[in-house]
Amino acid sequence: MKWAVETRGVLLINEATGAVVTVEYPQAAIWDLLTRGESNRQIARKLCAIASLDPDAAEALVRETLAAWREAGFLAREEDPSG
Amino acid sequence: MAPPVFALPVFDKWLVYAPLDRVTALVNRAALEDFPEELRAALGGQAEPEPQPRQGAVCPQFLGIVPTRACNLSCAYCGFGATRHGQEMELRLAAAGVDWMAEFAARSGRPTLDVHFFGGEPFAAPDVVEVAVHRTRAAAAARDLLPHLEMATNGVFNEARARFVGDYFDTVVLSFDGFRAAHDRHRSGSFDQVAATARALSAAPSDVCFRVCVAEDNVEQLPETVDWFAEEFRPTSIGFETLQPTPQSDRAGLRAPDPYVFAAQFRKAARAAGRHGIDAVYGASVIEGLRFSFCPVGNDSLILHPDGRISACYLLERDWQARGLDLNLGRLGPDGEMELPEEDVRRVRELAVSKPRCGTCFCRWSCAGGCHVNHSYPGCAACFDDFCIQTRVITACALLDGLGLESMADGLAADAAEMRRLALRDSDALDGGRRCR
Repeated sequence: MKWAVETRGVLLINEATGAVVTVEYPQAAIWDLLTRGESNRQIARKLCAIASLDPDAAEALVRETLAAWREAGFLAREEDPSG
Repeated sequence: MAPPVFALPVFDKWLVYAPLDRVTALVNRAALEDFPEELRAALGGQAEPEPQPRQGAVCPQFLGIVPTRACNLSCAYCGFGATRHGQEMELRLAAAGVDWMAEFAARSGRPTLDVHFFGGEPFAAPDVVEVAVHRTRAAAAARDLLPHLEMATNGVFNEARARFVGDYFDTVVLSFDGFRAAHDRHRSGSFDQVAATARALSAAPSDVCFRVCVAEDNVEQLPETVDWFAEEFRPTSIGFETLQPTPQSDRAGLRAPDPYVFAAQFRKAARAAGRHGIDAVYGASVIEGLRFSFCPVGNDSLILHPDGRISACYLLERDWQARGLDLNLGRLGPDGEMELPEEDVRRVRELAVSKPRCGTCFCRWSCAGGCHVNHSYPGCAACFDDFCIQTRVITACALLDGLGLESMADGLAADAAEMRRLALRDSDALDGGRRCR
């Protein structure tokens, strides 16, 4: 799995499948925070300010985004004991 | 009124400089003394108007964010009084600042959204930096603007953070004072971490500028420092600033360098940097563009502080106040309500123009008086100080370089008596003018 930061977001490249996806904001922020080891809860807290979301909406967006990335093969598994 | 023409002695010749006409010449004594009017006429071109602050509504070039005044170092010369813990900006205040600037940039037809980070150390409040960075990029994308992010940092953080900086920042100004002994003496023993960060950033796409604080103890090493920086790292540029004395630097036994020694060593360092394809910068001697202000003050840049204050300067409010200055411009509320009273904007713009010491100095539109708080404050001495001396010598060398006279510039910077003769003149005006002693 490789990724690159670009002007409008992040480019994800699945080397196994050749799939390439451009992730725009606010999901691009989720990718950055996730790859730097932040928990889902920490990501959601920052997402409230990054995307002007209320806490519930931010948590839902994190959950849905991670599920979509797992589905697309960009995430192998979720490791987040904090939930 | 005719545009000013300045004349400076360089050995047996005179360096004549008409900044508004963008003309520089080297002439002999006869041309200067016997034919001043003819010389003035010959130098005349299409003169630009004197640089002036803009009129009308505020027009910031960038938003500056001070996430916190806290810092994870306590450098020997730092007068900020920073501690490890201090007020942090609320995340929604940072977001509100970014949104305001994004709206302004889009409304003004700007191509970029420019956000700069200052401290303390910005990463003493990492959440604020991360949120503001992503908010900037999201706001730019939503408005078809290019995000442009800059940061001044001490570089004392881990590899993951260095990667974040390298990935997301266009320009990073990294404080790095050179070899281990000097750097550790100046900057709390942080050499190993800063060198690691410098290495990581050198491999990143960001432009990296090393900012070297030059004191008496490292001034003689500047050329060697540049060679080492170039061989070990890959900075885009190296900026040199002389130590600004503080009670802390006095207690640590650190002193500013002799201005002539600094000018000579900067010259050598710049030549070394040029051989490596690196820009060496002394901020007060940039002659490519004319300006009325050395810094953000007067240029409408907005610096957002943790308490919501908006000011024109990122230095401490108490330091301006000690100089009788008010550099506050307004306030931003956490819900985005911006107050920038016109009279405050006008007051700061006018302040940036009034510098009596600079009246007949040939650097008046390149140095532009230096820092408003530490150098050209109201009531400052009218005579040239060490900052003026080094700036005048370095700028004269740059003008000679522009004429293709690098050897003469090298000779000037190697000759203490010639440097003094050039630096300590009462007036540079071709036809006399105000006297400064």
